[in-house]
Amino acid sequence: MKRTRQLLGAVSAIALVGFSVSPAMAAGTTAGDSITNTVTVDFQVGGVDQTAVQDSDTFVVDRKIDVTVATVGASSNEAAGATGVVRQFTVTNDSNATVGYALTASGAAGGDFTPSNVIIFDDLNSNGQYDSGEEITFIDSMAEDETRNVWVVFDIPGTVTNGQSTDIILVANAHEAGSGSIGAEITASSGADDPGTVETVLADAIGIAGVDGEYTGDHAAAHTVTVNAAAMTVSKFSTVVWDPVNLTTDPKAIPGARVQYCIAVSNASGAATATSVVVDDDLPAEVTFYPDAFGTTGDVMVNGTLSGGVCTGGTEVDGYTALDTNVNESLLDIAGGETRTLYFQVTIQ
Amino acid sequence: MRILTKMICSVLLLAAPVAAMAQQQPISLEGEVHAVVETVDEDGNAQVELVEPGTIVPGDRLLFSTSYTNTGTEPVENFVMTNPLPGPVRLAPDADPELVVSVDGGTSWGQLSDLSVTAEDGTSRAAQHSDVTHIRWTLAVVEPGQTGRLEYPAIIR
Repeated sequence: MKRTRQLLGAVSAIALVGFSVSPAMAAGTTAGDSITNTVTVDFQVGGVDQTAVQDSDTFVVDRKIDVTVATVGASSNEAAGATGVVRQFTVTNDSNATVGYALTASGAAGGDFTPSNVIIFDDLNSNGQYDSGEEITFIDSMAEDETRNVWVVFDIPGTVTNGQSTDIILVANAHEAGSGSIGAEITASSGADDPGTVETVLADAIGIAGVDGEYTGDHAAAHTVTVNAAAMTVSKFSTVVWDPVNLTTDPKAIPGARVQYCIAVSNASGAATATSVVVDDDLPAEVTFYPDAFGTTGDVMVNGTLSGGVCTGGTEVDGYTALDTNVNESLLDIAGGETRTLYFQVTIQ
Repeated sequence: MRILTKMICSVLLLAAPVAAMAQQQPISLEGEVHAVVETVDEDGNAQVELVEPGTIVPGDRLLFSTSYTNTGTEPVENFVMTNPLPGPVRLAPDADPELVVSVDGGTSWGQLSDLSVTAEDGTSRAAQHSDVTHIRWTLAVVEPGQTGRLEYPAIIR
């Protein structure tokens, strides 16, 4: 009977152990949880059941600091001079304890350009996006396995040329958690170990070589930002199309002859589409605008093509007279690798 | 045979002090936990060291062991050592497959490969190392003065 009671007691203790431990999460057993290994031996001597013998050993789980910074979404090309460019990241606390994180964001050393006005945003009001007033330099407290969205906003200098790129890097560095602030940077425990004391191990991976380290309590990730600038070139051609003597057969640039000016605007292959392209051309004093050169009333042709130095096609524009000394027209958007032309005729005085 | 081998090895290694016995119990137990640390020596050979579990974090490997000694004058029979696994650990995948274990809190016992787990929806699947709740060793007899050690490897959840 005595043995039976002992056994029941042991079973109850087991049940308590089983239920008092918090469930293990992805980050693992929470720092500070005790692990108690208890054994019970039942036995007989001379065929008689004896009182069960128990022994146990306890130690605490130490603090494992681990953090992951990851990029969210694609990083599309940006225009030179763009302001308020946004890239999203996540910061995940993989530690088995509540930890705060200092955040820093910057362009990579050695990048083609340096982003300016770099600001980090959190979603402090949990509306799923970043808002003015949610600028942060740290996350004061993150629970085990918690993930936060973080946005990095920056400007691209206008001097950046087509094809240049740099990495925009976010680093999260583990600090002691706080409320409204963060505590000291977390370092690995040194010295002799104590089974009864919660000690700290830095267990983070390396995110970006040269930026963060393995087992240093920090982690980094980067979006590569490539600038896709328009790369425009303008060419101007003139062709004598008529003179009073030769007419259209091998006309010469004599007074009274008509000359066609063609302005070709090209955007380099692979460059960003150029928008709001305006051609503005002041006529030399020695020439007079020649209206109605195209079709019935077409004064200027826009958005034509260039082939072998000759401008053709396009859309007629009316509204000029012989008194005009300036041609000013907008062209359609010019994609990378595309050329659009504007052409008109003048008379040599 | 496997247990017997361990016992013989343990006798040679025995250095553990015999716990003070407040009661007149013929069996003394000495529980120990060691962290398993794998190192590579100068020749590139992997070595396994057992160290005191000072800094233990999730994913670390531990070896739980219990040394027993018959300090009495009579043979001890039907020696049954029951070891519930602490909640924060799971049985390591390379544990002895012949270990007698339970996956239901100590109600039913057997080798892990013979056990199954029933999910809440009534479906059944083969039991895994992480399902083990208890380990049990049974020795028919422990002679007076005989000592030995029983152990299992575990990983911190």
